[in-house]
Amino acid sequence: MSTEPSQQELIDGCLKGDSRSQNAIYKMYYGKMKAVCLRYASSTDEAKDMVQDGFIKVFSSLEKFEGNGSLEGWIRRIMVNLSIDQYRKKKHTVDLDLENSKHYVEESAEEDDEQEPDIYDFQPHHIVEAMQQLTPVYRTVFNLYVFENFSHQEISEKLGISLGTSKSNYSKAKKNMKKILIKNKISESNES
Amino acid sequence: MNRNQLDKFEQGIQEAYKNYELPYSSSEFTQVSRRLFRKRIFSGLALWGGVAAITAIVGVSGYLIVSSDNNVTTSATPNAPDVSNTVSIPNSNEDVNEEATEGLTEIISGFKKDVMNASGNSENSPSTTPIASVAQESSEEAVLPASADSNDKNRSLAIEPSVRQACAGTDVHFTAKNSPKNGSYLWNFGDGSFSNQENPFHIYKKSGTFDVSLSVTNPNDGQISTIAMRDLITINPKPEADFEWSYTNNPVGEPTAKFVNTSVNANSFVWRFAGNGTSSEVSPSVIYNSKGKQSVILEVQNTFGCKDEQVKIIQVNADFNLGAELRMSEQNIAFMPEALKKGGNKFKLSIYDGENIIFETSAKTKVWKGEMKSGKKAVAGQQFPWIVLIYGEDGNDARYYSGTLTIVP
Repeated sequence: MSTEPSQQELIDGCLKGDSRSQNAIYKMYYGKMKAVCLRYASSTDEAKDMVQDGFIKVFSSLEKFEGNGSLEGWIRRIMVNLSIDQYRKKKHTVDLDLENSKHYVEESAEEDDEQEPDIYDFQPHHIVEAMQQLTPVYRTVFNLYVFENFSHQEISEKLGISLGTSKSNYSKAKKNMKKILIKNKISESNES
Repeated sequence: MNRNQLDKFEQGIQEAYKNYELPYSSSEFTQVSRRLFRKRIFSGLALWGGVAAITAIVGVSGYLIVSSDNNVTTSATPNAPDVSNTVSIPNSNEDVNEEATEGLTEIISGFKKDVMNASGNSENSPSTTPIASVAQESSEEAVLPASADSNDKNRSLAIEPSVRQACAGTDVHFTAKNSPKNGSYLWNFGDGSFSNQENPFHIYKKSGTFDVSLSVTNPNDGQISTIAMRDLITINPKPEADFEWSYTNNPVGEPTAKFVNTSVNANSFVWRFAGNGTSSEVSPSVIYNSKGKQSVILEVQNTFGCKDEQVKIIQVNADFNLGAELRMSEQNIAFMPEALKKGGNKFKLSIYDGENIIFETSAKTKVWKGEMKSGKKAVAGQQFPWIVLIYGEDGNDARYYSGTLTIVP
């Protein structure tokens, strides 16, 4: 009786609405999923909401989990898809706001001297901070390409943009990431 | 794993973020849990309207009378829509069985004792504070009514079930909210069962709508708080899956199992035949060609989404390959599988010389007499693989058989 419940038992519990099972699943995957959402969100608060929405979705559609892959992978896909949906919903507003964007530099043609970071020992919080400074479309494309390993074809389909836009957005996103990471690193080392 | 060719910079980013996790947050889970709870309540249609969170009035149940010397505080959950409705809980269910009644007596007597002890204590520390206002550690937890997360300092005793609607046989977990520490509990699940645990589990075996009540005695002052909730739990009937089967041969002679669905209370069916696919017909037929044991699973569901399943094993005694001959003498070649000669189904027989089709027919009278592409006749030692497709009544849904014919002297 004192043995840990198996994953299937926890899933069954969740399907019955048992909050202890839900809590157990939440405990297991919250930390990783929060890390995923932090990459997609423009702020920590937004990431918090995304994680919550994601787990609501997880618990209300758990009966669709067929057990073919890992539960973690399935939950992660839900989080990523939710981020994509949110991006798509906000797309119009985002496009319109772009001109007044407080986000870091958009691509500018004359600044083409791409700097390379000297060393690549980034910390997770460097990455989160830098990602949050990207525009939503750059952030989403960068995430899908580097972390989710989506091809540009898949990204263009998911985001409803052309293949060319996906590629050019990605290269601009990457360039911006470098700039931001270098800049943040310099200011961090100056502080210390 | 990486399909995308990542350069050093991209790899550095990926690597740095690998295995990154944030610490668990219980308050965030509370919010998720609360939202899920509301979602369930709102999706449980107008149920909520009927769930008047109602005060149990003295006289409703025997155990409350016991405590009449004490300060009985009755409490309703916040926002109770109609407090004037009274519930008659213990007698509402007529089929209280004897065993349950026995258990009931026992629990109640235990409960009485607790009350007495507690009332002894209360002499030393008289208190008029309603029990429900005793602050609990779990102030973050959601209380039953969806609107209860206001800054309600006078938190009332509340009941939180793990589900509001379930299928018969589901284990429902009840949690007492805002109850005093080390209190003595008496739960009435409304189906003739009781418990004196703080957060009990209960399996509802029969379908119906059940009132649930909880009385808690405060160990410090002997006060009793009671909450009764009408129609709190709705239990939907569970279907019972079952089937019978008989073994026949179809016109082609294929061994066929005819399944007869004898399930009760179900209106959707999924049959799973090991190695033979699935069917959603009520009573399907399946052809079994291979010798051995085959499992058949019938999953049934009713309109409430309650499920049941039945598994049976079918024993197939012999392989069936159209009764085709394995060997023929080169003197007397005439190949047409027996089942095709007898059967009335459309079919196509193709014979190969190892690479190419050398003979094809859809007519059962047109047997293969050993002729080959070269114009020569087949001789001893040669082997000829064959394939037969038998078409179903609708012309589609072909079934496939194959074998090899060996020519002997």
